[in-house]
Order: sequence, then structure tokens, then C-alpha cells
Amino acid sequence: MTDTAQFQRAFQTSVAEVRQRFIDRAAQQVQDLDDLMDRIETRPDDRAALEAATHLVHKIAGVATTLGFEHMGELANRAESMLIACAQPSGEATRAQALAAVETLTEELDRL
Amino acid sequence: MKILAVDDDDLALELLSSALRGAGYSDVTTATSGNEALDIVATTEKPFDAFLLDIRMPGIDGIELCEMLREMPRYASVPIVMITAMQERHFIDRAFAAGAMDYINKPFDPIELGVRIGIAERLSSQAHQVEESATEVALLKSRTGFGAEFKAEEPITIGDVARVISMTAMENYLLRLTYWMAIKSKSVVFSISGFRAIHAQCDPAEMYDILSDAAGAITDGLKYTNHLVTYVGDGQFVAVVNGPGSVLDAEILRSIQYEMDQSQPVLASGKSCPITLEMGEVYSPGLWSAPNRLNLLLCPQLTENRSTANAAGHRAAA
Repeated sequence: MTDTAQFQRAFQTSVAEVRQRFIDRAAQQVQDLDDLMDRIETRPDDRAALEAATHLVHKIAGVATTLGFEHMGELANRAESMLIACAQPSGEATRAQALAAVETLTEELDRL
Repeated sequence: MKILAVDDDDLALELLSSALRGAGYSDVTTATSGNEALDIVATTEKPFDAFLLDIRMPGIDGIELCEMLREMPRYASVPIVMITAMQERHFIDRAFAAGAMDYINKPFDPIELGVRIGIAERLSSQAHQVEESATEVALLKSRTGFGAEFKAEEPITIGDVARVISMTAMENYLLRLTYWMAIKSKSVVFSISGFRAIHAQCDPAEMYDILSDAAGAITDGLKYTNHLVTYVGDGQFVAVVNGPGSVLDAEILRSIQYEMDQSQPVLASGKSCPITLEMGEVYSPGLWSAPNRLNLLLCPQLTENRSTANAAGHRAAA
């Protein structure tokens, strides 16, 4: 086996271990996102909730694709973009769009 | 190579550590926040040789952390690589302006990561040898009046001017731009007239000061634009600008020359050394040339037409 093949094999072993931990924490992330989006829906000016939701979605986007969850990575990227746009003064994305994007992401997380 | 990887996501850190181990980098320390990273840096016995930083972290973000590390003399030129899911242009611009040497998007390819870290390690080692000749000279001169030389054509790093980055960093920055980011960018070269003659009569510390002052004047002239500048050797600086207000015209050159004229150097020999800057033609990538991002660095250097502030003023008045 070549060095590159050995490297990739070892990395994939790590990926498999990390993937399981990602799955294990998915339920908590879904709960956290649901709570945060409830806060944002109730109080649109809750910047702390918006920031926390954006950060949580960002973390999912950062590893999902590497762990083999490409579609989830795309959903997380989209949700993050919506949340960031929602936070801008110009309000390029409505809260409803951001909420919908996050809901789609949590549905995908729930399937894990 | 001793590496510090900083990311607030423990899963991301584990993937990163695994990829680095596979690439042969086993001496990896991790931190989950900017504050923790600073504590580790302050207390480590053996300094770090490279940093991998996520951008989006609570508290001190990766770009702020990069700026703080660059202010530490020990880490002024070690490789700092941002590894992040943030792909928007302003993050890329801010990261390189803060002193990042490279920028890797998540999800990362582990093989590519290993290659890029290896390149950063090698280039940093080479660049450090050239920079040592510039900075050691400054120290030596203050004590003995003597120093080593760096060649006129050598693209040394001007490390003490904001938004002036190494050529390596500029190349990596340009390669990170998307096609549309490249289309919206422009570049131009600023040259020191008669540079070789000036270089021949200066000692290296004086030469470095002149280059640093020129870099400072250029970035001051461009302060209303989103810009990055690099020194490419032979008294030439390439500036890459983008965004609204990124006008590169005779007025900019006059502003830069005015700034230079405020502190024209006097050499140790007592001889004055007035510095005149020339500006080349502005390069804007076309639809077909934009795929080669490095044209933004290379094309302005190839243009023969240069103008000085005086000549540009006469043409504008005519």
C-alpha cells in the first residue's frame, strides 16, 4: 500500500470515529437549535439567540461534509447564510426564510 | 514542526489533528478558544512553528488571534494558516491583511492540507533566511555600522506595515479568490525610480527603511480602498484592490508621492536620497484572463508604461 493510501485509510478511520460522535451529539444540537429558533421567533431582537444559532449551524457546516454528510453540509451552509443575512440591518433574508432553513437542517439532523 | 491548531469545535480539531498526523506532523497542540491559545503561547517552553486557526470562534476570533500573534516578534513571520468554512471575500481579505499566509476552506482535503502545510513550512524557512539578512542588518548597524546585503531583486517581506504581505501570502490570497472575486479586482505596480542605483549606495538597513517608508506611503494612499500590497523586489510593489472606491488614478499617485516627500531619506553618508514613485497601468482581469488569478500579481509587472506624480499631473492638466 502506498504512503498516500495508508494516510487516507488512517484518516478515514479517524473520520469514522468522529462521525459517531457527531451522530451522538446531533440530538442535543437539534434541541438547542429548536430552543434558539423559538426565542428568535418570539423575540426578533434577541441578538444573542441569533448569534448562538448562527454559531451552532456554523459548527455543523464545518465538519458535516468531511464526515460524509454532504447534503447536511449544504443545508447547514444555507442556514448559516440565511441567519447571517437575517442579522444584517438591511434584512436581506426574512426571519421566516432563516427559520425555514434551520428547520430543514434540524429535520436532516433528526434522521441521523 | 510544532503546530498549534485552534478551533472551538472539538470534532473539527480531531479531524485536523488526524490529518496532520497522517501528513507527518505529530507535534500538534490544540486549543478551543483564542484565549486558551494565547495562554498556551505565553507558557510554552518551545515556540510554535506554525498555527492553524479557525476564524469563527466566540470571544477572540481567528483573525484577531492572527493579528495578536503577528505582533509578537517571535511569530512575526511563522506560517499562520486559516482553516475555516467562511468563504466570503471580506473574511479572506481580512485574514490576509491580518497576516495569514494561507487560507484553507472546510471541508478540507487531508492530502491537500499536508501539502499546503509542507509548502508553508518550506517557504517560511526560505523567507526567514532572507528576512534575517534585512533585520539582523538593522541590529548590526545600530551596533557596528556594518551589515550583510540583500540583493536588489530579492522580494523581502516588509513586516512592519499594515496590509503589506509577503509574496507567498499574496499568491495564496489570489488563488483563494473565486472567478467573480477576481473579475472585481484590479492591480497596479508602484516602482521606486532608479531603484538599482539607490540600492547600490545604501546599506541594507537604509534600504529596508526606504522600502518600508514606500510601502507605508502606498498603503496610506490606498486607505480608502480595500487593498493588499506586496513587495516583489527591484523596488516594485504590487497593490491589489477591490470594492467600491477602488480607483487607481493620478490622484492616488500624487497622494502617495506627497506622503513620501514628507520624509525623504538622508543616508548615513550625509547624502540625501529623494525617492520618486512611478505607477504602472492598472490591470483589470477580463472574462477570459480572470481564471488565472495570479495575473493580478504578474501582469502589472510586465507593463512598460509608468508615470510619476509630476508627469501624471501634467497629463491630467493637458
